[in-house]
Amino acid sequence: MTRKARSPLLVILAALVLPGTWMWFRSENWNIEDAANIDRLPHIRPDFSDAVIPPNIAPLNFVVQEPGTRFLVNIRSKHTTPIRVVSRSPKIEIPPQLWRSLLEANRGEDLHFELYSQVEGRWQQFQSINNRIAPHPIDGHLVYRLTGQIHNFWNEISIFQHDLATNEKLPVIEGKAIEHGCVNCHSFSNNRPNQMCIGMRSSQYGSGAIVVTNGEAKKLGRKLGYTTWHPSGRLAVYSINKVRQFFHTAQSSVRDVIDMDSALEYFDVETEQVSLIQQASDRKRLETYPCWSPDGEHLYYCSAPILWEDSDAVPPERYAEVKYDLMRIHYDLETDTWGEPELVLSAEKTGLSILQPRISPDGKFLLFCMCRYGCFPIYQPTSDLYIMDLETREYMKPDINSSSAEAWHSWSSNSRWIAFSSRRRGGVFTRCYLSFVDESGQAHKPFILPQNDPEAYDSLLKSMSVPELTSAPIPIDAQEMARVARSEDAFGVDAMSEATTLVDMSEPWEPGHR
Amino acid sequence: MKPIPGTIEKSIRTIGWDTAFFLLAFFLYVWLVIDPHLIHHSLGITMPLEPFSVSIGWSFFAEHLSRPGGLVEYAARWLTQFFWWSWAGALIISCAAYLMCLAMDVLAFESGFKRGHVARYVPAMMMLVAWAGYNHPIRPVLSVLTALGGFVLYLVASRLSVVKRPVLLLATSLLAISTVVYITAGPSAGLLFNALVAIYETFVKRRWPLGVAAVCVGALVPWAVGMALFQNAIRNAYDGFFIHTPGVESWCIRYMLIMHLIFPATLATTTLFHRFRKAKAGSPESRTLDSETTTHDAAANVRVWLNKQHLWGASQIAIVFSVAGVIAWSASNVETRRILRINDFAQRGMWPQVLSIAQDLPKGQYNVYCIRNIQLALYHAGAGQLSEDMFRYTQVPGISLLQLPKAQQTAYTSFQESQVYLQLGQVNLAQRCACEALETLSDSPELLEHLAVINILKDRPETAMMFLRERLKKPFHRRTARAMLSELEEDPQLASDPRVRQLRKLMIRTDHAGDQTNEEVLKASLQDDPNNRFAFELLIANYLHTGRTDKIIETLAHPLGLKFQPLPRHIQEAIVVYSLQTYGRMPEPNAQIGAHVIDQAIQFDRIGRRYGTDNQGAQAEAIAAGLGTTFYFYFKFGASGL
Repeated sequence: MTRKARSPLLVILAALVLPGTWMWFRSENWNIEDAANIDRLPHIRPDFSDAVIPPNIAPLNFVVQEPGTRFLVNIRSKHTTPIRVVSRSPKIEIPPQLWRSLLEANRGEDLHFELYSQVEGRWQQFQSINNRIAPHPIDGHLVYRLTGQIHNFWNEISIFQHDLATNEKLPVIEGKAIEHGCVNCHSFSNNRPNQMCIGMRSSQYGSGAIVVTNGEAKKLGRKLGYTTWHPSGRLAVYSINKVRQFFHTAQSSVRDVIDMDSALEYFDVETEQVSLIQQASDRKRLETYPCWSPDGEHLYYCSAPILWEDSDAVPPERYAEVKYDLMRIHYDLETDTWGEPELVLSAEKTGLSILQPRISPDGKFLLFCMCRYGCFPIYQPTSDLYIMDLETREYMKPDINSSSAEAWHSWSSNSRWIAFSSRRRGGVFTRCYLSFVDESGQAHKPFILPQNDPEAYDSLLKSMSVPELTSAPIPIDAQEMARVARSEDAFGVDAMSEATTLVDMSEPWEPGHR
Repeated sequence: MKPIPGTIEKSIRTIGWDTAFFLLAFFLYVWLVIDPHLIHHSLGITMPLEPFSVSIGWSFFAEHLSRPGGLVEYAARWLTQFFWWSWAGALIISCAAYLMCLAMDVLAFESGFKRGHVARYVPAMMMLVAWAGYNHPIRPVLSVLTALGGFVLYLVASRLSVVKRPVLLLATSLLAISTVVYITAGPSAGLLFNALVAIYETFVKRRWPLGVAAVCVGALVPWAVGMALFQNAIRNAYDGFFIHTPGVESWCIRYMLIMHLIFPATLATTTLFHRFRKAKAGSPESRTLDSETTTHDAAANVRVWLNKQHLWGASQIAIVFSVAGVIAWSASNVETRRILRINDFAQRGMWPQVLSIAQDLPKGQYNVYCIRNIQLALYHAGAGQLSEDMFRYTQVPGISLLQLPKAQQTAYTSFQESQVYLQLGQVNLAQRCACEALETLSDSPELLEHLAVINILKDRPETAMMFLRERLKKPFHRRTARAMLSELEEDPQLASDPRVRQLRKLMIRTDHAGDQTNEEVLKASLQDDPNNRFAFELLIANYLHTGRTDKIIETLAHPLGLKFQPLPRHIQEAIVVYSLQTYGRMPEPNAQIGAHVIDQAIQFDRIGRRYGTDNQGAQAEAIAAGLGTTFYFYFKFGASGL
C-alpha cells in the first residue's frame, strides 16, 4: 500500500477508534446502578459533613479515605440537576462553575454528597454525606497570617487574603519584602479593607504599622498591638504589650507567652495623635485585646492583675495564676471622654482567663475564648470559644470546640458567620475554620477553609492564624504594601501622655530571625 | 537540507584523545578526591539547603515558572539530588566540563581556528576550583551552558539565513533565543548570550547592525520580560546568578566571573588574532579546515600524532595537564573535606570512622560540628570513653552537645541539638530546636523524619503524618516515608518500633517553664530516668568542660558512676585537681587513681611553677611533655588535643 493510500485509512480508523474508546470509558466503567450499599458514612478528608456552608463558598474538594480504584460522587440538592464527579484517584475536585450554580439555586436547602467507590471491579455506595446551604452569604475574603512553627527564629511570615468563592490566594504583605521582617496584627474597620492596619517589624525598615485609610496606605512610625477600629473609622484603640515568650519542657504545648505589662492607647486618624486610655491603663493591672461595640459607645477589653514584683524574671512567679476579666468602658466620640471601667464577666466566676472578645456586627453576641491561664490562648490547648448573649449576659460553650486550642476569631459583616483558628487537626499547626451562627446564637459544626487541592493541608507545615473576614479584597497589592513598609517617610504621631514610657513594645518571639 | 561547509559539527568532530584523557582525569578527580557526596552532605551545614532542595509535584515546578531563571534553578535542584552518589555527581560535573570544552571549540572554530587549544580547558578548571573548595556552582554552570546552547542555536539560524531572508530571520532568532535564554536561565545567561552574538556579528561576520541589535536586545529583554512580564523589580530583572549565587562563596565569585567572561573574551580575541594573522600573511580569507582532522582512521591518527606539529601539541597538552593538576591540588580544600566526612560518618552512626578522621584534624584549630561529633563518637565508643578521651581532641569551653553560645549557633547546630535532646528524653527541647532548624535550614528529609518521630512520641500521629507526607515529596526518600506512613496508619503510637519504644521510656515527665542551663537539662533527664547513661555521661562531660571538679565527685555517687571500673582518665585527673584545690596536696595513688595520672599531675605542676605567669612557655613545654591531652592542661589553659 502506498503512503498516499495509507493516510486516509489511518484517519478513518482513528475517527472510529477514538470516539469508541471514549464511549466505552464513559459507559462501561462508571455504571453504578448495581452498586452494593455500605451502611455507613464514607471517610473523607477534610471532614465536610453535617456542616452549614455559605452559598458563596468555593467547591468543597475532598479526598476519599476509602479503598477503591475509581470514585464517583453525585452532588445533589433540591432545585438543580446533580453534579457528577468521577475520578480515578481518591481526590474529588468539583467543577467550580457547576458548584456555584448549584449553591446559588439552592440557598437554604440540604446538600448531599453520594459517594461511590469501585473495589475489584464492583461499585459500592456509601451513606450520603449531608450538609446544608445557608441562605446567608459569608464575606468574600479571609485575611490570615501564614507562619512556620516559630520559637525564636523565623524565615518567612506573610499575610495572605483568600478569596472564599474561588480559593485564590494573594499575598497582602510578605515578610521577605522587608528583609524577613515580621508582619502581624492585621485589623479592619467594620470588615472593610479600605480602612485597616498591619503591624510590621523589620531590622532594616524599623517597627511601625501600615495604616490604610480610604484605600490609601501610609506608614505609621509607631507599632500598634492588638487593634480595634472605632465603627466611625475616626480612631483605633490598640494595646501596647511587653510580651515575653518562654518554653515548657514537658507540657503538650512547648511555647507559652506572658504579658509582663500592657496598657491601652488610641490613635486619632485625623489629628494623628495617640493618647493613653488612663482608665484602662492601671499600672497594677494588665489590659489588652480591645474591641469596640458596633455602636461605638463601649470598648470591651481584657484585664488582669499583675501578680509579680520582679518584672525581669521570665516566666514571672505565679504566671500560671494570671486570669483576665472581661471589662468594658464607655466612650463618647464627640467629647472624646472615657467613662469608668465596668466588669462584664469575671475570671473568678468562670475560673478561666477570658480573652479576645469580638462582638457581632449586629451587636447581639460576644464571641470570646477562655483558657486555663494567661493571655495567649492559641498556645493553650485548654482554650475554647464561648458565645455570650449581650442582652442577657449569659454565655455558653458552643459545640464547635475541640480538645486543642481555638482562638483568633472574627465575625462576618452580616453576623451569620465566624472564622476562627484551631489546632484540632494534629495539635500543632493552626488552621482556619468557618462556622455558621444562626439568629439564636447557635454555632453550627465548623468546616475547614476549603482549598482547591484537597490535599493542601496534609503536608502544610505552616500555621494559618488570625483569620479576619472582609467584605472585599484589600485594595492595595503586595508590592505597594511592601513599598510603603520600606519607605522612610513614616508619619509620626504626637504622644499626648506618658504612654510611650509605660511599657516597651515587643513580640512574643523576641530575638529575631537569623 | 544540504550541509553547509564549515558547520559546527566539524568543530565537534575534532575532539581528540587529549580531551578524553582530560575528562577521564577530571572525572576521577571529582569522584575520588572531591567526592560529590560530601557536597550533597554539606547542604544545610556549610551551604544553604533551601536553594537546592526539591519537591516532587506540579506546584513546586510551577512556582519556578514565575521568575526568569526558574527553570535552571529547578534543574539545578534536581541535579543536586544526584550528588548523593559520588559517581553520579562526578558524571554531572564532567559532562558540564565537556560541554564547556565543546563550546570553546565552537567559538574558536567560528573565529577561524580549528579548536579552542589550551583555553578550552579554562572554564572546566574554573568549575573544578569551585567544586574542590566545596562550593556548589551548579546554577551558574547551567546558566552558562544555557547561554552557550542558545548561541549554538543562533549559529544554526545564521547558517540557515545564508540561504534566504538573512537579516529578518536573524533578528527574529536573536529576539526569540534571547527571550528563551533569559526566561530559562536568568539575567546573566541572557547577558552572556547577547554578548556572544554582538561579538560574533560585529567582529566575525561584520554585520554591525545585528551586533548593535544584540546589545539592544540584551538591554531590553530584562526590562520587557523581567519587569513587565514577570513583574520583577529592576534590580532583580538585571541582577544575575553570578552576583548572588547560592552555593558560591564570595572567594569563588571571581572564578565564576572568569567562567562567564572567558567565552566572549575567547571569541573576540581569537577573531581579532586570526584577522591580524591573515593581514600579516596577506592571504585571502580561508576558513576551510584541514581535511586530516576530520579523518577518524586510527592508523592515520597515530601517523599524525608522530607529526612534529602534534608533538608540539602534545607538549602543550602536557603543560595544560600539569597546570590543571597544580590547580586541582591547590584548590582542594582538605580541611572542609575532613569536617564534612566526620559529619557524614556521624550522621550515619559510623563512629569509629569519625574518630579515625578526627586524628588527622589540625591541632589547635576547631570546628563546632567536629567537636560535637567527636563527643558523640566517644560516647558511642563505650561506657566512660567520653571521660577517658575527650581532651585527646580539641575541646573549647562553651562548645558542648547542648546549647551553644549565640555566635556559634547555626541552623545545623539546632538540628544537632535537637537530635541530642531527643536521645536525652527532652522531647520538647528537641521539638523546639527542630522547629528552629526547619525555619532556618529548610525541609531536609532527615529533619522531616526527625520531626515526625518527635510528634509520634508526643502522641500526635496526625502531625507526624504531615511531616512524613512532606518527606514523601522528596525524591529518593519516598519509599522510607511511605513505609513509615503505613506503619503509622496501622499503629498511631508506633509502639512496635524499638527506637520509639526506647525514646518513650526516656521521655521526661516533670515540666519546667523557662530557660534552663545545660546542667539543669541533664539533671532533669537523669532524675526522670536514673538509667539514662547518655545524660549521665554528658553531665560528667559538662562538669569537665566547665571545670567543676566538685560536681564531678558529687556525681560519681550516682549508680551509673559507681559502675566505672576503673575510673576514666579525665575523671581521675579531675579528682587530682579537686584534691589540690581543696586540700592543697596530691592524693596518693590508689585503686581509683593510677600512678601515671599522679605522675603527670606532678610533672604539670612543676612546669607551671617553673614558668610562673609565662603561660605560653608553660603551654609549649606541657605539650612537649605530652600533657596537651590531659584535663590538667584544659583546666589551666582552656585548650586540649595538643
